[in-house]
This record gives sequence, structure tokens and C-alpha cells, in this order.
Amino acid sequence: MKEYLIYGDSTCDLDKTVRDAYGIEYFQMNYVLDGKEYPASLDWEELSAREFYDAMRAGKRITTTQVPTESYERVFTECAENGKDVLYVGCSSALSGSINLAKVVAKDVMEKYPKSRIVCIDALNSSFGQGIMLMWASDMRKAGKSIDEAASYIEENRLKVSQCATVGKLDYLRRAGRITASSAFFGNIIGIKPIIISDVIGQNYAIKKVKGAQNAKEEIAAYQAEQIENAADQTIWISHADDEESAASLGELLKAKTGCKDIRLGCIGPIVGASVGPGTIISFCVGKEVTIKGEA
Amino acid sequence: MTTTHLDGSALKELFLGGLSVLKLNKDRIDELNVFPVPDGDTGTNMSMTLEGSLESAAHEEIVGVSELMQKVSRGALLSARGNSGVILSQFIKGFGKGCEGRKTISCADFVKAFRAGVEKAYDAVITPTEGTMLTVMREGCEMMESRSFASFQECIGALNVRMDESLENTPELLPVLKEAGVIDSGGAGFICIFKGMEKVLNGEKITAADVLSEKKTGHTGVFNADSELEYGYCTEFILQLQHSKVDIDHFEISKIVKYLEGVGDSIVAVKDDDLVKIHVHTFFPGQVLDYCQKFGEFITLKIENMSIQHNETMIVQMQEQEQKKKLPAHKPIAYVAALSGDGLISYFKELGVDEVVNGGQTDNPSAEDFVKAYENLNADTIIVLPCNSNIVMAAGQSAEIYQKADVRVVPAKSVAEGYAAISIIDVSCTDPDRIISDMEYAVRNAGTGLITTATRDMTYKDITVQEGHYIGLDRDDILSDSPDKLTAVKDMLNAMEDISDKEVLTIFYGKHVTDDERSELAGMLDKEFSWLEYGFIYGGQEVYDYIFTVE
Repeated sequence: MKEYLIYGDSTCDLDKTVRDAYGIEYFQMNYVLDGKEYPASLDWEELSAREFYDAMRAGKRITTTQVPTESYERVFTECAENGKDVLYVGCSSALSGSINLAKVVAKDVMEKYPKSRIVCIDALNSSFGQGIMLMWASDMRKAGKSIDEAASYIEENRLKVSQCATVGKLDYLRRAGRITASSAFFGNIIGIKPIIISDVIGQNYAIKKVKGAQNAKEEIAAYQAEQIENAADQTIWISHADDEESAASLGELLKAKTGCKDIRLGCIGPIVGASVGPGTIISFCVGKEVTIKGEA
Repeated sequence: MTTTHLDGSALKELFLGGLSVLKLNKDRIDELNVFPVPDGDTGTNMSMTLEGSLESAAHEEIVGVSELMQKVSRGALLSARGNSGVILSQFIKGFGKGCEGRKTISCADFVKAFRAGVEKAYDAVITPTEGTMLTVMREGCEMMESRSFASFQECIGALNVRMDESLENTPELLPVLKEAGVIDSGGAGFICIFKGMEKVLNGEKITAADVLSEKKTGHTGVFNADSELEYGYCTEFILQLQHSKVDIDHFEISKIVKYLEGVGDSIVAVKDDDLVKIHVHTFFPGQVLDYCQKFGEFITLKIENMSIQHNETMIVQMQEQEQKKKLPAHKPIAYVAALSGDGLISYFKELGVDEVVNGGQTDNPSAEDFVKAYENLNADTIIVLPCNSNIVMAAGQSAEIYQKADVRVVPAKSVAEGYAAISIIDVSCTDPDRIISDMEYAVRNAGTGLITTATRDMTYKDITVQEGHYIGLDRDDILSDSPDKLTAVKDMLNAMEDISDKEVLTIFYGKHVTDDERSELAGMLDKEFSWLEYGFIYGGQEVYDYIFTVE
């Protein structure tokens, strides 16, 4: 069977240890802080996570850019020339234009190299949601499955990855505009926390609001307990934006409520982080297919 | 007993049954009428058409179906009035043609004749519109054609079920119905006829004497050659203003009103863009028409002698329109809160409260005050926040009195609890049970803190209060007393049992709180209650310097 590489991008939030263990590469996006562009590294080489999120806390606006065309061209072409295929699971198309750009580039490259196979899949999710799908791909590759088998498995099961999150402060979300909810939903309310899921088309959608961080965590745990299936064999992944304490306490609640096997914590990378802001915690489990569709 | 064949006299009984049900529902159908012109007469037109159709046959012994239908068809053509009446008469004509030459008909014959009726009815209309009587009869017919029936009971029973479904669906086909929130009136009238037939088939006998009104009370009855004109004429019309006659944009309706006042009374006059609707009682309708024709041309015109019973369609309609105008847009859920303080009122409104009942501490609103607030709303469910323990009862009572919506009281016993409830609602959610359960949870989770000035010395439980001191209260007890406002706040918060588990503090400051006081309070909170996320909102209340919601 033909060898294939597995690629994510800067929103998959998998750190080096995990990527190495699973043999996952990623395309880097970029972010701009104080007029300077940085590669959105998941290993925080230039700016530490603390420095990055402190800048946001200080009111600095961070903008992000999608994966540059050259990156896709370079990697896809190199792989084609070396006789390797590529399976790319990209950030939800509702959040980033990267995956659609990749599809266009992949088509060109495959025309040039008719023997090459480049499959680009919209994760309809981000952070560890996307990360979980990349790990699925890796596990299937290890089990000897072909690129197409791995791809169709992900396409069939991606909506079973259930995201449930809340943020530290609403201001960051409002500024980035990467969440779907009517303006009246949040209002001007002190201490309000949205409960955010990734809907059927991969947009972040606030399904509910509660008062206070503790209530938000309990709401998230209750939601995931409802969603999860085969909890006893499952690891729930929680990503956080420089707030490990919150993530850990959510982890305890989730473990108690769902009876899952394990909890893994990790940092929200710069791209997702720039839109949700410090203090955000996002949980991911696998279970019932998501059916909610937020208003556009 | 089931009926497999109908002869002429049996079919006549069925039609008479149909007429009786149609007449019973005449007024209701009139009210439904919005298409093609809202003149409120579909029920009347249809029942008069059917009554006229049956008149010549009603008092005769007729054996053959064909013979009966000839007479009925002829009567239908003569008596048809209004669009709906014409369509009905054409249906009857087609149905009759379908029965030609038959002494009796079977279910299958009935279905064939019905089809002929549907086709004739469609032919009668230049541009058939779906979502009307035509759709209802056609869909009923298609259902019958797709099945076979052992008896007329079964056949017409099934027809009515199908036509009812079809009727319910008419608003989906015809936007004007949906906007008006009604089903098609002609369709409703048409179904009445077959409902009546079903009744007769199932053994409810209806005779001609029961149905047909006595020989018309018409023009000769009440007002005859010797009568005097006592009340004048009810004159109603819609005038299309004409550019050639008048400057429409600057035309003042008062001009017409002034004239009408000279020649009549009971005047209602409305200008709606380039249309003028007039209702007037006058002895000289001719003069009114001559005068008004100076400004435009008539679109509709109705003049009735008021000595004879008549319908004042337009005035009723105008009143209803007025009523509708006043009501806000329909909402599945509306919110009412009892509050005082300009800041609180506007903030609660910003958060989704539709109506506020004035709910002062000393001046508690009555159930009637609540009902008045409900009257201003147009919602299926009204959720009420009393925001004061003394108001919960009145709110509950109002919920029992008011019938036009499902009124539900969320027992928020303080402004703080009311705020906790309203701040959590999801305005896009239309499930009242879900919202109420969220609100009730928020109320249970919310603590109340109030700061005010003691009006006299007193001892309550363990706390002694001095006149002029600041005191801190929760919903039931006095928690603190101090000559210093800030200390009173601090002691009050510390006296709240679960303060260390709380996370969010919302502070509504009263009318007399200064900026300096607020920044002092903020400083104290940062120092003493650093785990709380807090914020200030102007409440504008009189009695309490601060209202705290602790969540």
C-alpha cells in the first residue's frame, strides 16, 4: 500500500509530543501582534503561551492569517515528487478559509502529478476536535488502512466529535466575531458565560448562557455526559487558553459525570486562542452525532 | 345502517343537512374572509347561494337524482352571489351534469359527479388560485378517486377528513391567509356542506322547515310603501383618490369629515395612502357620493336602509384594524416585571422585558395592574417576574384571571432575583418550560443584598439598628448595621453564608449614590472579595442605595 503523510494545521492544537507519537505534521498559519507577523507554532517557539495570552489580557489585538498558498504548494509537490500521498484534516471551513484553499492547490498538484493522491478534509471543528480526527487517521494508518479508508472514516464520523466550551471573557469573542449568536443573546451582562458547541456546519454556536465559571463548567460536564458514548474506553481532551487550573477542575467534573477513562489537558494554540481569548476552556469527546445548527 | 345508493329525495336531504351546517357557521366564515377582498361576506354568500339552489326543490317530492340536480343547478345559477357563491354554483352545476340520466347514484357515481363539479368550478375562475375552496375540493376529490368506498358514510366521512387537512394547509399556499392568521373562508364553507351531509347520513334528520328561513324578510317586510325613513342609510365606501382630481399627498381627511358632519353622523373616516374609507349614517347618500367623487372614484360602495337589519361591515373592520394596530407583533413568549427606578426599568427592558408594572416598595401593584400590562402584549406565554415578595400573590392572581395567554409567574421575590432570572434568558428560545426552568434555577442560585438607611432604632434577631445608620439586608433578615456605608456593605456580604462559593456580583446603584462612593466600593471589593467578578449598573431606585445580586 502506498505510504501517506498526515497533516493538520495550526488550529489542531496537538503539541510536539503528541504529533511525534502519532506521526502528524501540520501546516502553519500566522498571527500578527503589534504589526509583527509570527508563525503560529503549536510549540510556542517565539512567544510563550503566557506572553501571548498576557498580550491579549493587556488589550492587544491579535489577528490571524490562513495557511499561505506556498506552504500547501511546497508540501503537496514535495510529497508527489517523493511518491507519497497526503491526508490533510484542516480547520473547520466555517472558521478558516485554509481547507478550501488547500483543495484548490491539491487539485492543481494532482493534475501535474497524476499518480499522487491528496485528500483534504474539512474537520468541521478545531482545536483537539480536529486533533482527535488526526489521531484517528494515524491509528488507521498504523492498522494498515489506506488513505481513502482513513479519509472516509473521518468524513463519516467527524460530527461525532462533540465540542463544548466556555470563555474567560466575552470581550475577546465579540472582538474576533468568530461565534454565532444574536447580539441580544449576550447583552451587557456581568459575569455571563456562553456555552459553545461546534454545530453541524462547524461554526461555534452558543447554545446557552449561564452565570459564573463554576456554573459554566457544570453545564459543560452535563452536556458532554449527554453526548458521550463508550465513556469507559474514552479519553476526554480539554484545551485551555493559559488557564490550566480551570481546565483541570473541568476535567474532574467531566470524569465524575461521564465516567470516562482518562482526561488529557493541553494548551489552545495561537490561532484558536486569538479568537477566544485567555481563560477559555474547550472539552472534546466522541459520541452522538451533533445535530444542532446555529443561525447564520 | 349504511347507505350504498342515494335517490333524489335522499340526496336532497343531504343537501339540506349541508345547508343547515353552513348556516350555523355563516358568521364564523364571514370572519375568515380575507381573499380576494376582505368584505366579510363569504359565509353569507355561500349560504344564500345554497339556500337559493334548494328552494325550488325543497317543497317538492322528487325521486330521481337527475331530476333533483336539474332543479338545484338551475336554482344555484340564479341565486349565486359573491365569488364564493359563483364557484359553489358552478360546482353544483358540474356535479348535476355528472348525475345526468340517473335515478340513483352509488359512491362511485358520486365521486365521478364530484370530479365534474371540481372541473366546472375551476373553469369558472379565470385565474384559479391555490389555497382556496378550489384546492380544498380538488384535494378531497383526488383522495376519493384513489380509494373505493363501501358506503356513503365512509366516503363522505373520508372526504371531510381530507378536506379538513387541505383547509388547514391553505395558509401555506396563500400568503394573505397566513398574514391574517386564518384559513380560507370559501374552503371552510364548502366543507360545512359536506359536514352537514355526513350528519344526515349518520342519522341526524334535518327537514326543510328547520333549515330554510321563512319567505324572505326582504325589502317589502319592514320597509314598505307606507314606511317613513326613520334612520337614514348606512353608507360605506372606499374611495380611490385620483391625482387628476386632488393632490393626494397633501389631501386632508378632515375636509371630508367636516362635510359629512353636516349631512350625517356615526362618521368613521380613514385615509390610508391614496385610499379613503368612509362610513356614515345619512339621509342623503347621494349628496355624500357627489361630494366625495370630487376627490376620486369609488372602489366599493354599499348603501343600506337602516330600517332594515343590515351589517355595518366596514365600521367593525376599522375597529378591528385599530385594535390590531395597537397590539405589538406577536411573540411566542413575552416578559413582564414589576419594578421601579428608571435605570432598573430601562436595563430590564434591554435584557428582554416587554412590559413593566410599576412596583414600588410601598405602592404594590394589583392583579388588575398586571392584567393591564398583559393587554398590551400579544404573546402565547407571558412570564412574570414580581421582583418583590409582596407582589408575588397579586401576580399569581392575575395569571388566573387572564385568559388570552398562558401566564406563568416565576417567583422572584426581589429585584436581585428578578435580575438573575431575566439576565439568563435566551431570547431566541421559544420553549417556555425550558426558559422557566432556567429562570427558576437562576433565582434559587441568586442572593439578594440591599443597603438602605434605618428609619428608626430597633432590634431584630441579633442585630441592633440605630436610626440614621446604614443597614444591610438580604431578602428576609438584617445582616449589618454601621454608620459607614462601605462597612455596612462589607459586613453584609461577609454575613452571607455562601459568599465564598459565589462568583458574580451585580450592583445596581440608586439615585443618590455618587461616583466617589462607587469607586470606594470597587476598591473595597477588589481587596476583600477578590474572587468576585463585579460590575455596576445604574438602577435609579429611591429607597436602596445598592441592590446586589450575588450569584
